Amino acid sequence: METIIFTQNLTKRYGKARGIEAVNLEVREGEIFGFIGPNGAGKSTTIRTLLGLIQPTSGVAKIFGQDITHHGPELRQRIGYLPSEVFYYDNMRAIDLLRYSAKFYNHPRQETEKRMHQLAELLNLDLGKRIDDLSYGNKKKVGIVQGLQHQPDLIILDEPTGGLDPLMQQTFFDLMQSENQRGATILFSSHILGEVQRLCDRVAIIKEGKIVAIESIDTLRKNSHVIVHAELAAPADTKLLKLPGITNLEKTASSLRFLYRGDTNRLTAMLAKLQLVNLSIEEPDLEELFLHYYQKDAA
Amino acid sequence: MKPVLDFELRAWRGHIIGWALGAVLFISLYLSIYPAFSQDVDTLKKAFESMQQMMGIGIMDQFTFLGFLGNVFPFISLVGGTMGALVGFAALTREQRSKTSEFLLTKPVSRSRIFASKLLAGLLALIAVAGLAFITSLVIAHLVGAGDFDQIRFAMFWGGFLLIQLWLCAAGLFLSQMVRNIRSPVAPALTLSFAMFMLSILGTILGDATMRWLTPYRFVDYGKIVLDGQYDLAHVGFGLVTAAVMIFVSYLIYVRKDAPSL
Repeated sequence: METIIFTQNLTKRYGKARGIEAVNLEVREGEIFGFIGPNGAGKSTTIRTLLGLIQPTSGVAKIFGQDITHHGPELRQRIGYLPSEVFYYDNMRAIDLLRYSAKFYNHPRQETEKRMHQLAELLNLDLGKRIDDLSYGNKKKVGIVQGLQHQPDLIILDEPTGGLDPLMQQTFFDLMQSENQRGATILFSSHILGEVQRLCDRVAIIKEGKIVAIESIDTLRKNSHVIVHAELAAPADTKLLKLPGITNLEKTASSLRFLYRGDTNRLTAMLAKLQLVNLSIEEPDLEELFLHYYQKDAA
Repeated sequence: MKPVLDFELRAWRGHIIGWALGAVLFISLYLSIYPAFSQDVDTLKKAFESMQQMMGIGIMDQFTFLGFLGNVFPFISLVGGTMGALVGFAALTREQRSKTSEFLLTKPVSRSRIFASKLLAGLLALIAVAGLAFITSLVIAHLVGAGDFDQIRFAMFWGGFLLIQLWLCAAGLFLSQMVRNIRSPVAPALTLSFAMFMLSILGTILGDATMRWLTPYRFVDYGKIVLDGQYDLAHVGFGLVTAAVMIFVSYLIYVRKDAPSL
């Protein structure tokens, strides 16, 4: 399977300020690859570097096997990009902006025009309106159309759902899935983990400019942690709670709550020694996993 | 290159019309004085005859149409120069101000091509204004009864106009890449153009020849055009070379700089 995005020690510094530090990524053909981290973690910096908007300080970045600094324009022929905030020429009509955008691509003009109308219909976008008459959500729809109308092989989404109502978000996710089925690889950056969980195959977690983990969504869920919540008849013996693999322990006289990663038999053996009133063991959602990665790294 | 060039030319279209009209009004205003001026020329000629003999042909030529034009042309060129500076400051910063630079820079087009397209569109806008102003002034000259005059020398005035536009455009381009966050091109363009013009006046008052190298408004010696039908090649050459250097440095900065975050 072809590697679509490859970065090795990709670093961007703004003077002494941090941008991203030694980012290593490998996004494979046909993947929907999530890129999560809170605001300011370095997601947009990575994406802007990949798109040639900013120059890397050091490291390697390749898309479709070609170096981004030397082959930017030809690589961008095959990329569709939707930024978190969209700004277009206010005095243009949406249709004129989209036609202007289409002129940059080698994709057959008639096909692009047809796809533009299809997407506009799907997203319920009035193409005849001037950009400055459109609401923020509708401008975002223009962004989606201009990012997809040339049928790119790689779609880069940077916090794409802001401004879209929940129904339109669902339409957008369905659209991304159909683009993926068409063969497009997707890099999907978000700080909303539910979105990533819903759409992605693998995910990279970025913190303070550094990648702290890259795992498949399934692995992340299955092999990482469980949330243990126990109600107790008597306080737990502190020694028992020193079992390796326990983190994020919240303890009262009558309850315990912690994350556990490790041998399940050891966990059940430990739990058997407690005087339990009630017990639940759950898979954590990504929000909790995400927090865990942050805390682990901080520790 | 074509989509960007077409887009830029459309963007400049309104400005071209506005500036051309402004230049035409300005020219009309100055040239409309000429008939009144030329009616008294015989009296004035006699009054200045002795002075003319002492000083050669300089004073006499001020009573010809071209001599008259040479006196008012610095003010006409101020209009062109200010437009040039405005085009220079606006060309590469317009996308930044409207926050559309990300839209353009993520398209499959190199920064070199974007730079070339924007520069070319700006230069074509300047040439269009200079051309329209030249043609209009030629018509006005005939309307105000300028009589026969050397049309090549007349055209050379407009060549000077274009040089001033070009140099201030290059300077605006260069400064727009050196200074961050230009919120509006108008204030810096006016400042640059008027500062250069004041420097030109100061140089004339002081009679300091070295100041001729410092301001584009003195690169062209209109007296030399009237008298010899020639440019001062050293100053014109200096103007062209420094404009080319400023454009080249602007290019080097533009293709390497990081696009601003939105």
